[in-house]
Amino acid sequence: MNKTLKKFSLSKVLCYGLLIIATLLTVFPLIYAFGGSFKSLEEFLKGGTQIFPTEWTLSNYVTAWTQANFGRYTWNSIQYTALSVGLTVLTTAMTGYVLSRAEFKGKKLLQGSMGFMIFLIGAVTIYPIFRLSKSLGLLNSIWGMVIAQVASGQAMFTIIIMGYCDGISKEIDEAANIDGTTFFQTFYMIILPLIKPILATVALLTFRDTWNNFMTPLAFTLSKPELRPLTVGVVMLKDQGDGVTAWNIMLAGTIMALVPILIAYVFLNKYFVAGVTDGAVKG
Amino acid sequence: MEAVQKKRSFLSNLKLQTYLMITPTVLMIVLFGIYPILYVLFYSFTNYNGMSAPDFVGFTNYIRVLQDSSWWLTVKNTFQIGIVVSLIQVPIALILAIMVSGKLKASGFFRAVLFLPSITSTAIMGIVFYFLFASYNGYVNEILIAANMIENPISWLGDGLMAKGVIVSFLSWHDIGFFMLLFLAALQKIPGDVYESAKIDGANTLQTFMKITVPMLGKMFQIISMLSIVNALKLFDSVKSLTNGGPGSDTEVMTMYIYRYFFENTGIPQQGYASAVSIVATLIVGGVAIIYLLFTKKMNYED
Repeated sequence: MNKTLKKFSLSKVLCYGLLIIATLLTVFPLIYAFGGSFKSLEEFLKGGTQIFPTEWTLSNYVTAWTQANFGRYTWNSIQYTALSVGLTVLTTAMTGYVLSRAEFKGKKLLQGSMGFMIFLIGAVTIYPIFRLSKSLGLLNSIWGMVIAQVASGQAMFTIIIMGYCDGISKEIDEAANIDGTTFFQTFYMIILPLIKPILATVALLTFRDTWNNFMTPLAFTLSKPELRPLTVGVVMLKDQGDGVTAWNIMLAGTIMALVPILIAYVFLNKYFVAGVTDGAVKG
Repeated sequence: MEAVQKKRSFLSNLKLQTYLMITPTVLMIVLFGIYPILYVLFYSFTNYNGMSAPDFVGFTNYIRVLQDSSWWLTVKNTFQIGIVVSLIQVPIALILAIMVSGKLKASGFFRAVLFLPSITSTAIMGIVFYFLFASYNGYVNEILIAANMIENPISWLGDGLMAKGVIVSFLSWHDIGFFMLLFLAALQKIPGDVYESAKIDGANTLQTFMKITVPMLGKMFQIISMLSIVNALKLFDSVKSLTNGGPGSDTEVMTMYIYRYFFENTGIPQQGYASAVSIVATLIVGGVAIIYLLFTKKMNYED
């Protein structure tokens, strides 16, 4: 008994040890970026093993915000994300419900196309999408990116919502039908409130995907720098900026791009976890 | 009579409503999923340059793809990164999942923290890793020098092989927590009494792991390896922001090659050729997925 107890606690110590190492490796790059964003450019370029600045300064943020257009980028990111989340939830909720309940011509074809879409490579489809959006006049505003984003989530999220609707008893719909509500009314008044948890998950995943997206806004804002979101703004500084002199601005931009998603994660991590697991297994 | 009529109007109404509700999705799938693929398929047989009317050139572009050594270099790079990253991610994710699935008091905390990188932007964090591994005063070099492990700074991103290593470690950092959670979900579905009876039969930890845990995780192994490989083949953001393909083209991946041809071509635009490369890339990804599915199916069958 004593022996097994000892062995047990030894493996426990080993477990804790490894997990603590993993945790440190995980959070280190984030803390490093955070510390660096408050260092003066000279201090950051000097290197050294210190993570936090000897003298904390907000000047990187001020410069980024006032001179490097990051105020604009932040506002673009917010618009791009909010519109994409709203439209994705709206459209995938309707289609998910329809696929779960209704029979119609072309249903198999639609489901097949969705499966096909999951295997598409973003870099392959982005050019035709770019040309199409251009000819529809969508490149002059944030809407081009938004619609491309909403489209890219259709397959995966519709399938997730369909799965959730399948778990809701059809008797609920039938009872509503007897009461004379139409198909859409049933969806809107009865089903929507019931599927709120999965809608929250879809909203959160779309938030993550849009806020973090890089390739679509990169291509869509090639000739419209004023429409760039944060991700593109930061990476562009590295490739065409003024070299190391822009490093402090990039670090401030990095933190600006990370903070909103980290805050969301702190408060909603249960939904994130549930959604990601669902998405991978069903999608 | 009236009732029948009412029912009929309700039915047709139902159909109309059904179609109206799926219209946005259908439009988006057609315009942003099916049309783009038909577009590149069509133009892959032309000499389209993005502006003037295209001429059909048959399989010329495809023959050129086959002989394009810089393209096949990016294919090689992609597969190298993809295979190594999968071999690192999958086992570590499984080990972590087992450790946080137990009765450790802080396992909830560890799960939340280890998953954290997956919600960050690969483009943004690529920049942070670029700083960490910078050859001049980068943090990794500074630490290694301070610990007397190296004398002179290493040019991590200046050497092809090491730059690939940095990409692999970045991708592992970013995705391991995600795969850990997937393994965890599968582990929690294994009924506890299976372990109980194994214990009674005198199986040790390693035996239990190899004979019970691994086989019972079968389906999740397939999903995760599949995700890991396909994600790696579609890699773009992380490489673009971390190395931008450099040094030279040593870390250039398939998607970046395609993107460059479509959007960043400095010479004469060659959308026709880019389309042919796109189709080849799609076939490669699809082919890998199919081979993988067939392979795992056969394995299941033999079980």
